[in-house]
Amino acid sequence: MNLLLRNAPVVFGVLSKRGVDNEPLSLPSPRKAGRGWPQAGRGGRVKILWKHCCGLLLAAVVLGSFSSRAADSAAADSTPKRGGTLRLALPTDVTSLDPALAFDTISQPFLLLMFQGLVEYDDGTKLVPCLAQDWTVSADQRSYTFHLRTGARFSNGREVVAADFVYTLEHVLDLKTAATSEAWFEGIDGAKEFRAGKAAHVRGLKAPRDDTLIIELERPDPSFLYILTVPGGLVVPREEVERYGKSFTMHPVGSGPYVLKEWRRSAKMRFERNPLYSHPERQCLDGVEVLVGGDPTTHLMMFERGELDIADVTEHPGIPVPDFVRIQQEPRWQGLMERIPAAVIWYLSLNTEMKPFDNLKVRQAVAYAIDKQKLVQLLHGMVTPANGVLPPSVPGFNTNLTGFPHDPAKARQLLAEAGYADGFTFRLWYEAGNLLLTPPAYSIQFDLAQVGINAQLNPLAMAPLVDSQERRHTVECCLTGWSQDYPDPSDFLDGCLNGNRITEEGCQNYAFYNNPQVNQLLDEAATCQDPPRRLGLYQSAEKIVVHDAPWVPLIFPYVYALHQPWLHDVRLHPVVYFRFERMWLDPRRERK
Amino acid sequence: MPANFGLFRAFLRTLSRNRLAAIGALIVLTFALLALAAPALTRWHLLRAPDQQDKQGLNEEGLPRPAAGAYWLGTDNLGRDVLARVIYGARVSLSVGIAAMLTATMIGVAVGLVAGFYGGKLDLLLMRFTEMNMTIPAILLAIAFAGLLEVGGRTVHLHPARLPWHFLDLTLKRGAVSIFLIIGLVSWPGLVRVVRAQVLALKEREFVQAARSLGASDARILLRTILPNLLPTIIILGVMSTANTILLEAGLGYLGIGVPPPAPTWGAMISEGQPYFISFPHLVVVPGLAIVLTVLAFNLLGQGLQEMVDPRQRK
Repeated sequence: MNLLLRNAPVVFGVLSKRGVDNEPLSLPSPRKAGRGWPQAGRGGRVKILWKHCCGLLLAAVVLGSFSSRAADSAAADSTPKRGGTLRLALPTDVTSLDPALAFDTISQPFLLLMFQGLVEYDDGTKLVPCLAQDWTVSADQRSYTFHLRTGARFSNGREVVAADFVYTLEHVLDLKTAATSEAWFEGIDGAKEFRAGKAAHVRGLKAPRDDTLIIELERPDPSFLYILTVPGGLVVPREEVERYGKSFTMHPVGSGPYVLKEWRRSAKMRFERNPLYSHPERQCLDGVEVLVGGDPTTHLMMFERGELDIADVTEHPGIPVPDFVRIQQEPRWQGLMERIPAAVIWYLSLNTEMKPFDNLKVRQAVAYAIDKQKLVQLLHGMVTPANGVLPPSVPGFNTNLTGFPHDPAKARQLLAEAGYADGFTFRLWYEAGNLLLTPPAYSIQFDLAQVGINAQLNPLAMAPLVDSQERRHTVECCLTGWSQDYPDPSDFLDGCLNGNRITEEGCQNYAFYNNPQVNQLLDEAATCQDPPRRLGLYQSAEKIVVHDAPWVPLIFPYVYALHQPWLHDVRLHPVVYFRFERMWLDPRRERK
Repeated sequence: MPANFGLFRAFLRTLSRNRLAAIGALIVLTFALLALAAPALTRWHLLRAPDQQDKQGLNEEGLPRPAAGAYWLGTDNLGRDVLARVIYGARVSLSVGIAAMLTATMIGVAVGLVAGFYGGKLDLLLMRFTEMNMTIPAILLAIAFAGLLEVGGRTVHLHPARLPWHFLDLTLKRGAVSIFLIIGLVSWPGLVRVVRAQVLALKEREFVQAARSLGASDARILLRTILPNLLPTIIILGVMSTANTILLEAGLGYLGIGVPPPAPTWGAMISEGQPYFISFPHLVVVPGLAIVLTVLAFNLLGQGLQEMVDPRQRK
């Protein structure tokens, strides 16, 4: 997923999924990039949560004015309490609350309030049953049979049946819907014929009984279950979608624990408990209220006045950079800040098709010139330096990669060898107003100036920036990021660095990097059924990429959640980050 | 009748009488001298380079240093010396502000002279055009113009594509020159009315009639007879409008469409420091004060000059 999000809800459109074929892409919409067959990696994931207790105990001892509150909290038992409205704020509206149309990291947690899929993530990246009670996979790995849980109802009262899933997926695949996550589901048998208008239904989707759903794939795909968790896989009732059409986003009906009660565009969203939800014990909150407007700094001020329960839910990075150290040091917020390594990399993309970055030595010189430790310092340790492409929380993360150390002398030497002894001038594109990216942009400009390279900063609003980056021969160098769609190395390497997936427009390979050796390794890994060997292939590809330097990996960020003492079970999730429906409020807590 | 000679001596006399004007002149002079001397000060290691991102400029947590010790006015969030940036910022602000004022004055005086002198339909046309320009707020117009500029430069062909008249190509590039031109292009209408009103009065005066009866051409009358008599007014208006052009430059810098980074401009310093305002107010206060002082100084100076020219205003 594209990671140019500061506060604007972004369409990433990057969520695309294709078959194993390496033929040139014929992509349905300009924002699609192809993907290989990723194999689901479920391995070791670092999960760091800042435990509440020690901080709170400390606060109880040290702080007079806050002691009662802290002690209270420490004494409060951890059984969820019912009641209370969660108050949040967003800088801008979510793009859509229609699962077929929404896809940005900001709307996802809100979709999960109202909709459910066949499977969902547990507290980590393991998939557990949701609307599907259990499932079986055929011996050839092509056919999935799901047994649905009975008794699950949509908020309009109707029971969820297997035919609803068939409709949902066909609706997403339908060209007329113009869904954002359609390409993910093209691996379903018959999906291509359906999209081409040659078939009225998708051959691979069957609902023999109300509680049995069969999905057949064209080719085995070990990551198919992961794909079912993307918004397009969330079930919607046909009658409501057909009734409201395009305005389904304003009248969403799902089977999730909450329903949308009010949405005043650019002002306020309010969600309330769904009385028909099958697990009332999971609906602790009476509702969720979202104020729309303002910026993260304003929201932090509101939070500090007690007007919000979570400081920032846009997750990049969860606390405004300028305020981070102050918040971290304030005794009042000790133990109330959680963090998790985000499966995100921020990098400098050097367009290998444009001068002077088509020269390997120039790219390596840029990599040598940049001081990553300074970036970590500038961002107050909210990030760690990146030496490779895969973030630490993604399977296949390679601790042995050393990348390019900060060495201006070496950079100057490489530039001279490349024939740019006097340096050169280029534009550095990045998102304007991004508090996380602006200091690094200035720092990189300074570092490059030290070796004689003149970087002209070119901050742009998100939409035109994404548009330019995805077009060939347009952006010579951009400071940008990539966030995982699902926990697998293919999501990073295959999606962003496979030369076979370069397109004229809507290309996610911003560096337009095309190394046959890497392409071959990635294609081989995509079909590899042996997990350890597969990760090895990805790591070999990553090693070549790091050496070729189409990307200068900069930093791996953390995601932070700063919350009030009366809000519990905020636990950041490694993929979805915020799961509001699992949080609960302590009703005894005095709230302003 | 205002005298053209001895203007400077009269100016000094005014300063000695009008303390506020003297303070204004002193501030302008200080900033101007610092701005001019800045590169030399850096070369002699009396002042840091404005873009220098010092490792020591940030504390262990990566936070700016407050105003103390080695950094007189503290550092910003990238470890750059705020004092150096504010002084180098004066270079940008003053040069852009004064160049913009000169541009605006030239346009404004030309339009005012022609409109007032010829009168009739030309006057009607020019004045309606001026008023039309006045209805659009200068800052909005400047933003619209600045939006046309691109960092790497955008080339606009002002000739038909099939003709190779490349001398008509226009490169719209972000930089100090384009910014002062933009500010100049949006700040002239205010001058036109004053100049026109004076020309209307002057052209009926005996000495103009005399020049005309001697057979002087229109151009000669305009440039040699009327213009010199307008000079004091133009100077006052110019000084006063420099305050506005500096404000406008700071405004554009604040909005991120001024002179591009890493060039230090006061407006950009404020916008960059704003997110840190709660913990590190010096990042905003220092460039803010610089803007306030300069604008105030130019206004005081302008008022002093006005008193010098117009004896009725003297107390």
